[in-house]
Amino acid sequence: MPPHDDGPAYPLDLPEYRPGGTAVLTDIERWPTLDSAGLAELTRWRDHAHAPRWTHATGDRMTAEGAASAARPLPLDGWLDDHLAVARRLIRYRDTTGLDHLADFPTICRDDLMADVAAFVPLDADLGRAVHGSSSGSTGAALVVPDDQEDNARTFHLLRALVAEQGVTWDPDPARLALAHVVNQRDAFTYVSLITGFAARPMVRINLDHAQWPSTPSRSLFLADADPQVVTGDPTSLEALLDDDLADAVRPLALFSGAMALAAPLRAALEDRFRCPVIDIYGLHETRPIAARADDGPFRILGHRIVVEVLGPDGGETPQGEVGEITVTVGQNPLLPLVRYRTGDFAELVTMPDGGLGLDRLEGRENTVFAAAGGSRVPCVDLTQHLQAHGARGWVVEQHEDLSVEAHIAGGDAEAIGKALARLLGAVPVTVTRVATVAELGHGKPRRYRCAVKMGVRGVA
Amino acid sequence: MVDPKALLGVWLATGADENAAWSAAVPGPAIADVASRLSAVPSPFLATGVDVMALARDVGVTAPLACEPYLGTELVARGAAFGVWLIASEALEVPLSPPIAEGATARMIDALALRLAPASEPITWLSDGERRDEAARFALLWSGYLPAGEDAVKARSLWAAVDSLVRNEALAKFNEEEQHRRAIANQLAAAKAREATARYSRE
Repeated sequence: MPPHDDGPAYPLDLPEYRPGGTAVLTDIERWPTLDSAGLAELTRWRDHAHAPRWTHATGDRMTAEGAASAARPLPLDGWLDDHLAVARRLIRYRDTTGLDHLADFPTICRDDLMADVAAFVPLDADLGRAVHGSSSGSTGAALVVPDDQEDNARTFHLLRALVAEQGVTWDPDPARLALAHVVNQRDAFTYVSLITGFAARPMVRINLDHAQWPSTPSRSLFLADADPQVVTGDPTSLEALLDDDLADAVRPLALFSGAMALAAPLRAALEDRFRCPVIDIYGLHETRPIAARADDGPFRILGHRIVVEVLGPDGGETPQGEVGEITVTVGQNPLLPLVRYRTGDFAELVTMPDGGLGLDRLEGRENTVFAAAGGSRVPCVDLTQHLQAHGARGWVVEQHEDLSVEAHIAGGDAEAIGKALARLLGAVPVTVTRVATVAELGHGKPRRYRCAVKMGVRGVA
Repeated sequence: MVDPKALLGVWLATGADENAAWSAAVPGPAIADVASRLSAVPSPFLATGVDVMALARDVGVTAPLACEPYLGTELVARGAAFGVWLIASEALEVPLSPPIAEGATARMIDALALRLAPASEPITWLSDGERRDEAARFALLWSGYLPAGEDAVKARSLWAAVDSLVRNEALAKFNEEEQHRRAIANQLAAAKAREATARYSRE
């Protein structure tokens, strides 16, 4: 079929998408099961009087068969043995002997994928299923990986299962949008889509940044009319939902937060305002979701094809009670079967009350340690507790080589936080600057903690 | 002596796609005719230090050759020289039918020099019938032809039966891995241009 020939029953692609840019498929290619009802929904939201400037179009590419498959979790019986058998045949491992068990595999990290991602993609992979996946890192360099269309579609059903675990039923509702994925940043892909495996109900990805909307009241009018059943986002965009004009526009069954840590005060504010579960998901793009929590306790490791280890610097498992690097073996994406992938994030592996495994004291990217005035080491998790206790919804705390500390906090009691940091760190100069929103801390994922002090194992070097 | 893997890497870097070549190939000369032509290569073509580029220009090959920087390596020069001879022979003897000079001549020369020669010493194409058959098949495929009387399925099967690369385990493995890397890179580039899929949450 020619790229822009939708056939006599369907309109042409919308002209305002960037010419020659990223919206290049036909609607039939985006949603192979598209019917007149689905087309009507697309048209309704694309052409909505208060719609933002849509910058993209994308679908789930699911046939009826694919959508049915994506709605089912992958079976777990024997999956790890099969997964390791596939891994042994990867270019990365096929010249290595002795990889009999999981523990025999070396750990790998983001740099390994960036250097040679093909070495981690099965030689017999069905590349027809691949879509472009990109993972941003703290350094800014993007990791490009092959995502799997069906695995991407299965993520929706994971969200649905997590909502059900909170006792909330999320079924297709003809009067409401299924989902609104919200961001709040300078530039973003925004689009209307349909979820093939959810009665083809519509979803949107929207940017709450005011500049993206035709008028000041537009975003609230659009969301009120859309009435999304579930809203997903990150702390920056979810915080924006608390704005006066939006707080009454949505009545979600649940909220999902991802991409960066959701601070307790922000969770509390969202729960208080929307009276629904607020589910924080932890995972990287290349690992898919790893764990989730609906409170401020440990993240529960998800029950799909994943094995989580927490490792020390020597690669061995950390002793009970200690924090180590989260290392995952994941069999959800057939195009990228990861084995012992070090995430760069740190946590303590704990046993949940029901016997399941969880991740507590989760800290991203580096388990940053600060230097107290006396030269002792103060782990960042200690700072986290005080920052949250005094209402900060987000923060960036930086210690310079001279031990002085600068903290930028979003919300919270700046004076109390300053005193708390001073108590933790002793007689070091501490300045606290308060901004109103998490967004003002910086775009992307601002590193929460930075320390330029050189330290040895026992303290300041 | 250049590492055979390096030569194979140069060939793969030209973007030569075997599947695409098979798909696009059209009926060409008979294998026996091409093999016979190869066996008649004049000795000056295979002499040490022969100026392969000058010979190529003489027979009208003006497109750049990926093998040019490596013509100081004897097996590369001889592989290329065989390809140039096939073109030259059509002016000196009866043209093949259809003429090989009307095919993708530069690509054919590079295929013999960089893809085949590292796995199959060109001098053996004179003495060994099976190696000569293999060289003839290479020359035809990368000129854009199927052997006369063979369809793509049959031709590919017969090719696989004589492919020297398969017998060289290290080269075969290298070839497989490099082809895979290129396939992934191409697929990701095409996927980027093509749209991803809808995302339901932030990661």
